[in-house]
Amino acid sequence: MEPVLEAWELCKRYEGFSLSKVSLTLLPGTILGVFGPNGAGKTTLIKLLSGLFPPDSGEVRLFQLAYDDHEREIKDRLGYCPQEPPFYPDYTLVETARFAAPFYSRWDGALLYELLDRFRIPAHKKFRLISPGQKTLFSLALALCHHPDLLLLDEPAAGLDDANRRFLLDTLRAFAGDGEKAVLISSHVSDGLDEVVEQVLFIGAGKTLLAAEKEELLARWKWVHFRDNALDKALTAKLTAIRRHPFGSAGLCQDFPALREKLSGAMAAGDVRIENARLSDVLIQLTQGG
Amino acid sequence: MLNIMRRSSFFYLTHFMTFSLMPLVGSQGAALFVFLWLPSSVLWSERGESYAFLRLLPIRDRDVVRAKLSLGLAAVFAYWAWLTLLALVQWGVSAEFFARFSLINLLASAWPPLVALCYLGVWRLGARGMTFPLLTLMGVAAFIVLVLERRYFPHRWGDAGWGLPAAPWFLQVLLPLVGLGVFLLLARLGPRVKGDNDEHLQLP
Repeated sequence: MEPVLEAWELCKRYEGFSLSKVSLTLLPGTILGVFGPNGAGKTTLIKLLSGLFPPDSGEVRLFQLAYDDHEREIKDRLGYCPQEPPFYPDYTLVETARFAAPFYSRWDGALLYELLDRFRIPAHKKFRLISPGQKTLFSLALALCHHPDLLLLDEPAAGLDDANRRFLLDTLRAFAGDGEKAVLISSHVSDGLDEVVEQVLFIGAGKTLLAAEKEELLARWKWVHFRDNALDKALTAKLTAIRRHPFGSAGLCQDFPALREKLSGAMAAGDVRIENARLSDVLIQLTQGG
Repeated sequence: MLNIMRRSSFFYLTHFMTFSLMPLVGSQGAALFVFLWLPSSVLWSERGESYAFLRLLPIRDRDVVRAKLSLGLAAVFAYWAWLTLLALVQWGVSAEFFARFSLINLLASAWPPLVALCYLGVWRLGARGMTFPLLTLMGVAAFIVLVLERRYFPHRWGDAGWGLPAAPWFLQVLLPLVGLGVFLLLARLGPRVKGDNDEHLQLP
């Protein structure tokens, strides 16, 4: 199976920030989540992947093609939903769609209007007059309505209400579900996206912190809740982010399979309880420690 | 390409419409004012442009550059044709007409490079970044234009060609060709300047 997206050691330097040597591979049928705190470099990474600007060094290939020689072919198959949709503020949504339509070989106007109806966005309203959430949804609709093979979404869940967030997650699942298309989605919070992503890439301060399959990651990272004196010091030392709660303490374990056997006695006695960690727990631990 | 040109043409059209009235109401040095009108058209049309949006679309930078510069060149041609037509209507095929035609050609030779330079500046610094330098430049140009118009045009229209009508015919052809040549050279730089700089990608 050939990757939909490959990036090798991407670097981009700005005043006061640099993205350094970020690599990733995205296979068809996969949803990759790029997570990191504010200013981690997620938007810069997505802009590089979308061809908005070129990297200082490194290489990006989409559908086995490079932007240098195949910019049109790549963008015809790419749906990019930027964090700040850059559409003309003085154009209505219909005018924006009419402007964009001739550039795409697989433009589907009916799908666009269906999505606008679904999102209840007035198509004849000027872009600058719709709400931030509606701007995101319109951007998503434009990204979807030319039947792309890859979606790059930069914090699309921000500003969406619960119903539209649910629709977004369902849409992403269905999009990648056919096994031929892929999604890369970025967020500074993983809540809500945990359930759809299959691969995760954590970045912080412009560097890759961790890249893994989500299931494999969450099989290793667990919260260990334990009563006072239920664990010896050696075991407790293997836990991080330890917090007190009324019935004991809880700590984050980064390699649960390695501890499972040692904890099995206490678990059987009811002194230790294991709970799945969330991606946000992993992210906070990786970026802030403690 | 046509969509991009159509959107960008609004200020070109409004500027041209206001300009086209100038010679009709008696401004003899209208050709000089093109040096103000063209940068102004570029500046105001580019301030409403969203290159970040264009970058999302399946279109190459070189096609965007071509669309923009084609529009600029079309505007140059429109100004040249309008001034030539007015001179022809007013003077018929006569020595006075050729004096004006020579002047128009002389000045018009500089318009294509001027338009191209304005666009390169926008792609290098962004429309907002170019606003202050361009307005300053236009202010200086306006001063020079007004001084020149007062000095040369009210009573000495016959000399307005600064002797160019007496120049060899090939020079009168050569100057516009040189202008076009410089325009084409600058146009070749366009995709590189646009591709290497991010400032113009700021949202409008």
